[in-house]
This record gives sequence, C-alpha cells and structure tokens, in this order.
Amino acid sequence: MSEFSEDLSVVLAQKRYERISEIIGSTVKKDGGSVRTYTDMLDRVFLNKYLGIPIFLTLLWVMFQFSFTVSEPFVVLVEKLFEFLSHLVEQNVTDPYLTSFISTGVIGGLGSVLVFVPPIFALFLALSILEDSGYMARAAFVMDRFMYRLGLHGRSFIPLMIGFGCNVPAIMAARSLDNEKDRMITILVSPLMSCSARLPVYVLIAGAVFGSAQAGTAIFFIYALGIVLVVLAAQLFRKILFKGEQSPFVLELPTYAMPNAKSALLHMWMRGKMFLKKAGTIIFGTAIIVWFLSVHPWEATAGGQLIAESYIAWMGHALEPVFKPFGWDWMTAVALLFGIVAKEVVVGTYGVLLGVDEGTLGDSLVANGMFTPLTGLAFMAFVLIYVPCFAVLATIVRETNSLRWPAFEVIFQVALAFLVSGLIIGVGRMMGMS
Amino acid sequence: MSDFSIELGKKLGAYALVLGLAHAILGAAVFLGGVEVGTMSFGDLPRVAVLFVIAAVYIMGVGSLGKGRNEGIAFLMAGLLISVAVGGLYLLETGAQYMMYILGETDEFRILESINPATLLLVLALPLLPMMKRVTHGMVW
Amino acid sequence: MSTKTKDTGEQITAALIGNPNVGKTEIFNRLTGLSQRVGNFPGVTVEKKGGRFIHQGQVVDVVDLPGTYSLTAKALDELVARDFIVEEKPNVVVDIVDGTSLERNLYLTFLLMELDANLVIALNRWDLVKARKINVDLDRLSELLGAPIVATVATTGEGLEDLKSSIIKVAHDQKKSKAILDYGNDVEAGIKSISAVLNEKPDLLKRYPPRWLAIKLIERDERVLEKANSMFSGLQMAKILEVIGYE
Repeated sequence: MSEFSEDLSVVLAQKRYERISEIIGSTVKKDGGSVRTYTDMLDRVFLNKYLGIPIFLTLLWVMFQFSFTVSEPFVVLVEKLFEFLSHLVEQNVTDPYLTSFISTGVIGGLGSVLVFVPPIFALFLALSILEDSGYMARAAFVMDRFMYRLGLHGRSFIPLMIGFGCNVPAIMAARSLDNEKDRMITILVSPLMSCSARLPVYVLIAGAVFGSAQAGTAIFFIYALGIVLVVLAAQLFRKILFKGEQSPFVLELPTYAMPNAKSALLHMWMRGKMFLKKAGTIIFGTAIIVWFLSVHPWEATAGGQLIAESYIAWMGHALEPVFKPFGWDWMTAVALLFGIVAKEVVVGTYGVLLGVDEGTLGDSLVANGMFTPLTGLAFMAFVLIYVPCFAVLATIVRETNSLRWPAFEVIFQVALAFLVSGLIIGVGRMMGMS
Repeated sequence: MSDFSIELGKKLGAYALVLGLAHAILGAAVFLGGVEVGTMSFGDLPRVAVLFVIAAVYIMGVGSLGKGRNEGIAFLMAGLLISVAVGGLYLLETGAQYMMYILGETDEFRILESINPATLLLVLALPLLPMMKRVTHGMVW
Repeated sequence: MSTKTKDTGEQITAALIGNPNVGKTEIFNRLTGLSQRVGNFPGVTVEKKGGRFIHQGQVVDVVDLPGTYSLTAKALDELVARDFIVEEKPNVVVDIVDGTSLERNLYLTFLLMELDANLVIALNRWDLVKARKINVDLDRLSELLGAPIVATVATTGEGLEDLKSSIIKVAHDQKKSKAILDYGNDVEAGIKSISAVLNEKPDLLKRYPPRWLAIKLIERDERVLEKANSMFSGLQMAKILEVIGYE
C-alpha cells in the first residue's frame, strides 16, 4: 500500500477545492471582469502589486506621526500636572523619606510612564480605525505576499499585526496556525514586533534627540526595522531550525466599512485599559524598587539627593563597561536592566533617576548629554530587540511547554540587539556622526 | 464594456492626471530643488515620499478612467482616502502646534508656514466627491 | 435511521448549518419565530437553538448547529455539529451558503455530502448576488451537487416558503443521489482497502456512512480513530493503520 504522508488531509482538501473550482467555473459567471462593489474597487488599489506596499508604508507612517505629534500637547499637560503635584508634595510633606517616596518614586517612576498615555492611546485609536475599516487584513496580505515573492514563505503576518499592541496575544494567536512549524516560528519572531510598551521609550528618546518634526519618522523607522527583523529572523529560523512544508495560505478579507467613532473609541479603550492596569501594578511595583535602590543607603545619598552614591549607581557602574562602546552611560545600563520586567520601566527608571524637577524628562536627557541622535537611535533599536519582557517570556514558556525555547529566545535577542545597535553606531560613525 | 460614459471618464481622467502631476511636481520641487514649502524641506523624506505615493495612485487610474471603467474610480477613491488621511494628519499637526504655542512650549506659531501644501491639494481634490458618488450610484460595499 | 414515510404526521427534524456570517441565524429566526428555545448540546458548553415551523400541515423541528467552516475533530463546535448529524441523523440538513462567496462556502457542502446528509442548499444573499451582477446557474449547480438549491434573501424572507417546501420534500424522498468526489487513484485505493476491513463490522456500517469513515481514517481524524480502536480487534486496527501509514 502506498504511504500517506501526514499532510494527507491537505491533499484531500485540495482535491475538494479543485472540484469546487470546476463546479463554480461552469455555473457561475461574473460580469466581464468589471468591479461591482466598493470593496472590490478599493482592493484593486490597496492590493495592487506596485502600490500595495507603498500605500501600506504611507498609512503606517501617518499612524505613527499621528500618535506622536498630535498627542504632544496632551503629554505636556500631563507633565505639568505631575510637576505641580510634585511641588505640592514637596511643600506640604515634611518627612523627607515620604517626600522622596512620593515625589521621586511614585510621581517620578510611575508618573513618567503615565505621561505617555496620550501617545499610547492615540496609537491604539489609529490601530482601531485601521482595523475597523478592514484595511489591516489587506496590510497583512500585502506583507505576506511580498514575503512570498522574495521566496520567504509563511503566513506570519496575520498574528503579528496583533503584536503592534502587545506581543502576548500575538503569540497566543499563533495557535490558529495548524502547522506546528509555522506556529513555532511565529512565536519566536513575535517579540521583534514593536509593542505599545516600547512606545514610551521611543517617544521619549526620539522626542528628545530628534525634535518634534523628525521624531515621528524616527519612530516609524524603528517599527519598520522591527518588521524587517521579523522577516529576516523568520527566514533564518525556517532554514535552520524548522525545515519543512508550509501550510497553504488562505486569508479572509472582510468588506471595507467606514469606521465609526464609537466602536473605534471602544476598541481603543479596551486596549488602553490593559495598559493602565499594567501601569498600576507591574510598572508601579518595579518603579518603587528602582526608587528604593536609588535612595539607599539613605545617609550616603544624603536623603536621596546624591544618586551617585546609591545601590543603583553601584549596579549601573558595574554594567557600564558593556554599554560604553555604544555611548550609553550607567543610568541607561540600569534602565535596560529593569526594563526586562516591562519595557515601559525603562522610562520609569529614568524618571526616578533624573527626577521631574526641571522641565520634562526629555529635556533632562538632552541636558545631561546622555544621547545624541545616533546613540539615541541605536538605543531605540536595542530596546526594540534586546529581550522579551516577563509577560512575553511567561507566554512563550506556556505556549512552547518548555524552558528551552524561552532561554534560546533571550540569548538570540540579546545577541541580535548588540549586533544591530553596533551596526547602527558603526555605520553612523563611519558617516561622521557622533 | 464601459461602466459609465467615456466622456465623463475622460474628464475625470484629466482631473486625476492634473492632481497626480501636482503632487509629483511638488514632491520633486522639495526633493530635487531644495525648495522649502510650508513644513517640508529636503530632510523630510517621508513627507516627500508620501506625495509621490499619492501622485502614483492618481496617475495609475487615468488609463482606466479614460475607458470609463469602474476600476479608474477605484484609484480616485483610494487617492482621495489617502489624501484625507495625510491632509487630516497635517491639519491635526497644525492644531497641535498651535496648542503647544498656547502652552508656552514653543516660541512662535506662524499659521501660514504651518499649512502643508498637501492639505491644499486635498482641498482641490474634494470636488471629485460628488462626481464619484453619482457614477457609483447604487453600489454596495 | 429515523423512519420516513410518505404521509404527513411523522416528525421531521431539520438541522441548519453553514459558515459563520452567512445569515443562518436570520433564516433560523424566520423559520422558527417565537417557538425558539435555547439550550446546550449535551455535555458541552456549545449553545443549541431549537424551534419548529408548520408547513403544508407538516411539523418540522429545526435545530441550529454552530456556524463552522469545516467538520474536523480539532474544534469543539465543529465536532458538536458533526456529531449531531452523524449520531442524531436529522431527516434533512439545510446547508446555508453565502451566494457571494461560493468558493469558500461550498467546502462545507462537500463535507456534508461525504457525511451522506440529506441536503437542501439555501443560497442566501441572493439580492447581493443579483446586485453584483453575478450569474448563477442554479439548475446546473443543483445537478452537480446532487441536492436541491433554493435562492433566499434572509433579510426580507424571500425564498423561505420555497425552502420550507424543499425541506419537506427532501425529508419524504428516499432518493439519495449524492455526487461522489473522486480523490484520485492512490486515495481511492486506500478507501477500498479500509472499506474491506470496515465491512467486517456491518453494524458499524449501518450507523455511519462507510465512505465517510474511510476518508476520516485516511485523514487520521482523532475521533474516528478513537472509535475504530474501540470497535476493532488489534489485527483489524493494524490493517487499517498500515493503510493510512502510521508507524
């Protein structure tokens, strides 16, 4: 008897579809190739083989520019609010320890992250609008088709588009892939998609070193970099780790619809809620730990004033040599360390260490000369890649049922992060930038 | 063969061609000529690229429009939608800049400089809307 | 199998099935109206809606099965739908198909044909089909699929009386001319070999459509394999497993 390979159900399915095509071919006649619905019409353009990707990149750029620039005034408002609260505390609370806790720990640590609620919510709003309109499915299709043309197979993009908000549901969405190899590859490349947690870091650094006009573009570049890395990593994994067939690619394109304000805002709120919950728990908790380490030993730091004498400074200086070549200092080292818990904590750490006394956090970064446009860009790339946050790691453990893969993922991402950041710095230095 | 009158199609096609060329010329002026228009200057690659993308969308539809086919309307519609997204973004940006000025974060706000010509081109494209609606009357999503 | 006679007065059960979002719910509502009851399929958290309509003096019980794209053992609602058709053996299965995406919808239809279901196909969204100037040769399609087709517009109720008539007619007809899909020489030979083993258990063949069983075994359907394991001797299972290529 002949051997049937395990993909036999695919063969049977194919036979069924063939017969269906035959039947439809002889019984259904569409009217001479002209398009009859708005959806078909728009798809002629949005799925056009030349225009598809440029349009996608354009809309993507608009999305990021919107998230950054239009939310700026609101960011300023929130910053002023926290500044005010901070002064209020300093004037009315006498106990220096408590003052430090509230002002530096809570307001500095947590507040500095909450300041980014406007861009995050703006991003979520833009994402919701794009999804509700039906365009997102086209974007996924166009990207997957592009990958197919380059000889890169795999329907990675549909679950990954979810990653724009958070990598955790994207990893879980990989369950929809029947082919185990497809699923594993999708899980392993998901953390390379920029998520909303990284956005505060991008907004902070990009805003500080690139200024309003260019910041949106810098952020767009980082997201694009993420997509490129996803494509390359997927290729790498497929060739080396998971050789094998891919499942046939069927994607359902919903009809287009005019997105309505109510449902877009609702979706925005649903995603935003998760961020706020995370802020109130994980980010808050870690920020307090960072604060604690920054004001102890209490005497040595003269009541939290001399951060350079604190435990956290000691930790930072220990790590500093690793990052010196990139032009980053000890504060950045420590921010990256705590950022492993959740990427937003990178911002929170800066908030604690630099305080909210004068101006904004962004101004402080620039004033202290901590970043140049080149080192800032390399830093953003590093944050994009360097390690999956705790939540993502936990999800990978669950979904792959092993500790081997998450460990591999961590090593892979750290190595890749150093590589890419190094490349950026290297190329930049060659071009004469500092 | 055609979905609507070829005569109307040729008119729409001409309009689309003009719009497309306007975007392309503007983009070229900024990119090649170093001309500074509004908030765009040479370093602003994405804004220039976006102009070219919109130009491409309009121009690619001219052929179909000239034949009076629905497909041509598709390019017009898409071009308009993208223009709205981009033009809308620039308008919002202007508003945000104004708010920043009020909040005291920036020193000055010059309204004329803040208006991006892409927004103006969007306004020029708006008269197409009623014409498109008439042509695609009765269409479903 | 439930008995069917040519007289009215016998209980007829019709199951509604189809892809998600084809208008099945709307059709179910229009057929059953206020007689709807909601419950669960036995032992699972999948909702089961039931109701009835009376047409030409005949009472028809309608069960709304979960909307699915296929009938594998991998998803709970697919399994529930499949089990209902295979075990409860409704007199008629009404496959509701979206006329504007036939390519996708007919896949389920084919699976139902393999299940040996008594099919009536409701081609819904007929208004959109017409609006998009899509030309469907209903007679030929019905011939090729081996089942009656009724064009419906669930949102207005158009075609539903014809649908009811068709359901009753099919329930009374004993004729089961199904279109069989030839899967190619290799697979067909495999089906034959497996059927030979299956024939050793005639009561199994009375309960389940033989060809469907063979196909599921070839597809290594978990559920069917389980059942086979419990019904066949070690030797018989070994033969089957050899055919389907298990180590």
